[in-house]
Amino acid sequence: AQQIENREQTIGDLVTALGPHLTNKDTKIRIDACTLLSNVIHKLPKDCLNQGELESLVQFLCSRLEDHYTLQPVALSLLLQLSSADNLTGENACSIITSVFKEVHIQTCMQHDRLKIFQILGTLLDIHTKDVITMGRDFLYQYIQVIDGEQDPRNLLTIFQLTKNLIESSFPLFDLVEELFDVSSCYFPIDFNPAAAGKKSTITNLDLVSSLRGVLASTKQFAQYCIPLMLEKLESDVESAKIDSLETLTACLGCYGKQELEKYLSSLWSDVKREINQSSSEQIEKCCLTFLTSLLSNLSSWPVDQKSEKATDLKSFLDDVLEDCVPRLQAQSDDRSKWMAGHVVLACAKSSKKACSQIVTTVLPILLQNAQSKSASTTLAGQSVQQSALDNLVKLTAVCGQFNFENHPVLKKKEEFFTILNELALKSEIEEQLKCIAVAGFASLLKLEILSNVELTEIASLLLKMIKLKPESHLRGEVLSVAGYLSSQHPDVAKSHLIPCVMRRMEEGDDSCFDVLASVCTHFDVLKLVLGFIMERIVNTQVDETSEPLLHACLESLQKMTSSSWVGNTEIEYMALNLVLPLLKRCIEVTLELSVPEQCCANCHIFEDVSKSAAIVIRNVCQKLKPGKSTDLVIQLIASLYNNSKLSSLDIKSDVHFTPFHPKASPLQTRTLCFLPATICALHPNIEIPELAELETKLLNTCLHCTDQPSYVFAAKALSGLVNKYKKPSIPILEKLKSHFDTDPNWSLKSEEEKMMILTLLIWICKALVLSNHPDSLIFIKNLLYWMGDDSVGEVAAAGFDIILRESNEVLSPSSHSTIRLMHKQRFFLLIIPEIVSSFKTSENKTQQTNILTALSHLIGHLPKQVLMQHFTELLPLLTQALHTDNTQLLKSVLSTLFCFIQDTTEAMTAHLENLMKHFLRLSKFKQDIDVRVKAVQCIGVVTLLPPIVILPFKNDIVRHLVSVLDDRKRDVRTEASKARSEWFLVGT
Amino acid sequence: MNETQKDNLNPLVHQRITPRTRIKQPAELDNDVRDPFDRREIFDLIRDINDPEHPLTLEDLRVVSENDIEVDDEKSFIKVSFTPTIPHCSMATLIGLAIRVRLLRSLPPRFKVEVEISPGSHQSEKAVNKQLGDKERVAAALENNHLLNVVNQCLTIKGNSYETTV
Amino acid sequence: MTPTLDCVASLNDHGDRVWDVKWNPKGTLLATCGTDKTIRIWGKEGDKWVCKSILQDGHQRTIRKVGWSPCGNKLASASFDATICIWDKSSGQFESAATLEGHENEVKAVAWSQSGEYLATCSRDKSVWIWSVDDEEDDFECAGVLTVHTQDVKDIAWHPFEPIVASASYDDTIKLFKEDDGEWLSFATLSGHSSTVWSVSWSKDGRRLVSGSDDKTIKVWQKYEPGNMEGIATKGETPTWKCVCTLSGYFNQPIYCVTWCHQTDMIAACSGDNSIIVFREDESSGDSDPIFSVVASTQQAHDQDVNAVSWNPTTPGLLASCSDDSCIKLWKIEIDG
Repeated sequence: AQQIENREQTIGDLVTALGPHLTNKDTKIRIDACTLLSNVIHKLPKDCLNQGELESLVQFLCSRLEDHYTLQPVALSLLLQLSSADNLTGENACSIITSVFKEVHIQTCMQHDRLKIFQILGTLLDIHTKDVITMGRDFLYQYIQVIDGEQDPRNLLTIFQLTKNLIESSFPLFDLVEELFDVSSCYFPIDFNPAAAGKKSTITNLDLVSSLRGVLASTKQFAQYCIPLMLEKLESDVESAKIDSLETLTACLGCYGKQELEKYLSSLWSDVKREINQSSSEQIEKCCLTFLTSLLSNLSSWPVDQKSEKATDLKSFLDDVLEDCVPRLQAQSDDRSKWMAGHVVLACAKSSKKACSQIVTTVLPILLQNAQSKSASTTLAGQSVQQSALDNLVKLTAVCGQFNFENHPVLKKKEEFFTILNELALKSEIEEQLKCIAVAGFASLLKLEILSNVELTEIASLLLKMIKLKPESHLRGEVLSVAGYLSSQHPDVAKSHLIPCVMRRMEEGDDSCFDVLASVCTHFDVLKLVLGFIMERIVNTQVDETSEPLLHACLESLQKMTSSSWVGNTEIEYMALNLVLPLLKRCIEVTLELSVPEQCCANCHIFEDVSKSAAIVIRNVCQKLKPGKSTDLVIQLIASLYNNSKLSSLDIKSDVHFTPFHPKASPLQTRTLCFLPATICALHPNIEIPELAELETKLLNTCLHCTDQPSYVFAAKALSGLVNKYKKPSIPILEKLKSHFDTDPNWSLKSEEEKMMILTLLIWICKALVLSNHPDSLIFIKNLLYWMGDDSVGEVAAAGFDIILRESNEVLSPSSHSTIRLMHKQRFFLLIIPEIVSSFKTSENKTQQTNILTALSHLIGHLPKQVLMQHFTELLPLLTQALHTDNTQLLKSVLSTLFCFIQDTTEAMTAHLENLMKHFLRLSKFKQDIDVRVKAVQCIGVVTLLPPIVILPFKNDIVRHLVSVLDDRKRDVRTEASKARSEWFLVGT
Repeated sequence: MNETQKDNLNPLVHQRITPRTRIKQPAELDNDVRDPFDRREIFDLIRDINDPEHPLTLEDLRVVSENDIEVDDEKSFIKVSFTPTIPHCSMATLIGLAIRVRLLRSLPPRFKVEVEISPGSHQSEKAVNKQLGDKERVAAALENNHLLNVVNQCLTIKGNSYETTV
Repeated sequence: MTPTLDCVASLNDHGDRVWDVKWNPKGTLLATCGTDKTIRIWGKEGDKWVCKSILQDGHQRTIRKVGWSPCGNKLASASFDATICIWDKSSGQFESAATLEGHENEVKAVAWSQSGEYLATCSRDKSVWIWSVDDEEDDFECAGVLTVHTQDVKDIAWHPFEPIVASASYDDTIKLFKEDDGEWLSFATLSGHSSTVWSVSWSKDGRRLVSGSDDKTIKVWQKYEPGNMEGIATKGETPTWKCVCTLSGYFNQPIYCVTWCHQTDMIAACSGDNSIIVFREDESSGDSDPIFSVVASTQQAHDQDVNAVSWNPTTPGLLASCSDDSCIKLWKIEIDG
């Protein structure tokens, strides 16, 4: 083959060489020769063979088709290969087709040979469309013959595709339309069960259904046959047939028009109506409604004869629909029929502007009337007539919102509608649920944009009145979202009416409206107004006990505003300048005020909470800042405040020095480092941070020397946030850190406090590196493992694993743009497991062993089950070892893990089962802790899921042992024991 | 069980009165306090026993209810009265046996347990009660594999109860 | 205040419910059986009671009761598997010598006649079977099937010297059978208990019978010959049996076993309320209205139901008991006078 490709040898040479064999009298040898040829050709690129070669090959192969029937399969394979050759002429293509049709008796071929033929036809039709079309009626006639009677699902799938392509390539169908339709439609409706078919079929029922649907809906020429067939199948009793018919009809609407549909309109409607009214299946109802919508949108596009007096087809069809639905909608009873009528009407309205207009004009008055109905008759669904009318009203209005009307059909009834909603919303005896719908009604009315300014104002005051009534949280949420929408569309109304009202109320002392303020901030103008209002309150409020709730309410609404997804770039930049800076300024000011020793009191604690809340607000904004001039300015100011202790950068006037990094500074000052994770660390990585190195050094200094716990934790977090964002693996500060952790051999002599400081830093640095898959992470983690041997802080080091893997909002979170690699937990796990195993084995330090196991239990808690499963064999000895401990936390965690894994790791388990069972039985009587006993008994119970042959030997012992656990002093343990014992009794039965 | 052999083809299914989850009292979390056995605890043990004839539990059919249980933890005494769905229910003994076996497997052996038909709710009340009270007969019945399988089926809570928890 | 029983030994080896305990006629060995389908033979080694041998594989199901032959060389066991096994230790070790089949379902009790001539068995199939024993051949032949009880038969006991057997039943009665011309016949029905009679035992002189029942009472029955001095009516030649004493209020649960000691005339009874109580007739009491008083008792003799008690036939006051708690206990009662 290589030679032929390289033109060293021609295919002709090969054929000549094979000549004697190809024409050998022994059929077997001819087959072998052809197979060899086929193998060679298979290896050739599509453009390898030239026209001449192809032509002679085609001729040769076509004559092979006439040959002994056993030669046909290999000849067909060869033809299939050739059919996609680039240099094949149209003429050759046609001759292949002709020979195939003529020589091969397709119905007697094997399935895969038939498939080859269909594929040959498909390929040739695809590539040589024009030439095939010239074959004309003859081809089509033969084609229909060939595909007739096919039953194999794989072949059918190919045929359906082929037929669809044929039709779509505008192959003339001559007088064979009906035949072609019949040969395909005879499969409808398809009911294919892959499982029952027995073969390992990858074909689903849906594949066949949708590809057949493709054929049936491929041309409007089929309409005269297709529509009656579908209507007939719609009458079937089988749900799937009904659904298939409806969906096929819907698909057909894509190519049908007036000509095809006109004469069937009335029967289509009456049949669909029947289905809707009789159906017991939600699926059928849905299909009917979808069909109606498509049909009507099709109708709406029919040409309209302007001169004709006659009503348009659309109108008369809708008249029919309405004639049926209107009485049902008017009925005072509320039942399924009414409910369905509502759906039908909505489905029609959805279809087009014209339809919608007609529907609204007729139906709206009825619904409005019903919506005022006082009848209390409730239905099975618990809905009143009023509620269902209102519900439909709101939905219909929402549908109207989809279209742009010049002359809005709702306009005429607008006032009536408005009044009804008004009434419902405020009346106290109305149910909450109904009020919710009414509120949604306002929203959909708002969306129509037909309301006058007066009406908008009315809505605004109505919403405020509703809020004043202190509705339940769900309704309140609805009201707020409408208020938000109102203000986003009509900021003037919000500014002139909503906001002043709320502000007035708040000035009167009503502090319950902060969430209203936050929710209406859906427009920049409104936001500016609200922000100013709230900031003013914050700045002018002293931090003390009485003002605490107010401050928190303010900050909460700010949190809501800043975290809203609506907020865009403009708003964020505005907030950076008008929210972040003033808020930070205020916080620092308070810090400086409070620093005066005698005032440092209860207020400090209040301020701490307030700062935390403020930090969240600030973080929300900083996370969304885009690189740019104003951003740079803001960051510059903050950096300079901290780095250079320049109070003036935030325009703060104070005699007190601001030295937040100084280890000996007032804790209040050092604790303002909490704003660093919220600002500098929350930024987009493309935003440059001025004097970064200096900042890092200062933070490190605080971490190592400041003894105030919250302060050094904030510093460690800030530093980790910065370290994490480096794009290159070489991080200057990391070297310093490394040397610091490595070269201090006297750490065991240090005080517990100092150890805690170093450890905190180490844990956070580990986290930063682990999240970013940093190559140095193992160095630091090993350090952490080493610390686990420390008597005073070893436990903290173990708990560090939890910090490392737990998601944090404050820093190192995705929204703070931290580098968080996919699968970092898994990678961490793989990295650490060998270390854990070997440290555990080699360690002679009991404390370290216990702490390593604790760390392991944290690790396990954070990893997906599948990952753990893969390493279960390595883990199991450690876990078993861990069961020796008296540490209840560790026991609980290990038992929980084992509980999860026992049933999925039968093999790994079996070897250890005896040993584990001993532990479980012992721990089921673990006096000190209920949960340990509960979990141990659960483990005993879950073992029953293992194969009986493995566990049967334990049955008697366990059943007997559990007797005493049944009388445990705690009910929880007893309940589990009873459950486990009951299951064990069933083992082997 | 063949459809036509059912004694009661259309049993009334009742709404559950006793909630599924038991609200924990603070004392229950205290390892040092002993939780006494109470009616609810016993009820929780037997409520999910399947009826031998219907795919329903004894609780669904109100064959058992929390109020029909007496517990004296100190004296180690428990009495469960059950009410067959119909007075001529031929399954009464089997139901009683299932309850007894469940309690046998789930309660500390110090308890003396009586399982009886609620007075007046069954034609052969006395005979059934006597059978259920005869520990020798109960022991022998549980060595009868066929009967044991039927009882185990009543006691099997939709497959292994650990399958859903894992 | 009655004295309590002194527990002198506690043997725990069965690991499951122990149904029956029986001393051998010499009082040297103790046979126990239970749910674990084994029989254990206990003997004293030094001061300690130890399990000397375990007899297994004789039965497919629970072994309900055992019975020693009067010679002490054979042991019969009755099982829920509907068979009776005969174990022989003539060779030194107990070996399974025969299996008796015939009962339709659970065999509940087995007992040898004092003469060693007969073996009686009873079952849930409502029948009592009498087997004649050919000691030489180890051959057991059915001599009679007595089906006069209307419910399962719980216990049987042979008269101390006559070929008479008493049976206790779920039908609340006790029946007496005797051999008459090669035929076994029921000749008396003792009614009075209001529920299942679990156990019967004869007095040394064979004039009295004690029974324990599910109705939580013990009854003592006495034989009145025709023409008796008390003027109790009799029917023709056959004596009448009459309940002369009912002991109630002593137990809170069914009484599973009563046994009359032929050395000390004490009656031991045990119950589902975990207690064992020992009674003895007051010396002052009259023949037709005897009064029995408690001479010793233990409320929590076991942690669970006490299923059987057995008096040592040679050591007065030595009592063995067995329980659902899988324990076998030996008790000592100091007898005054």
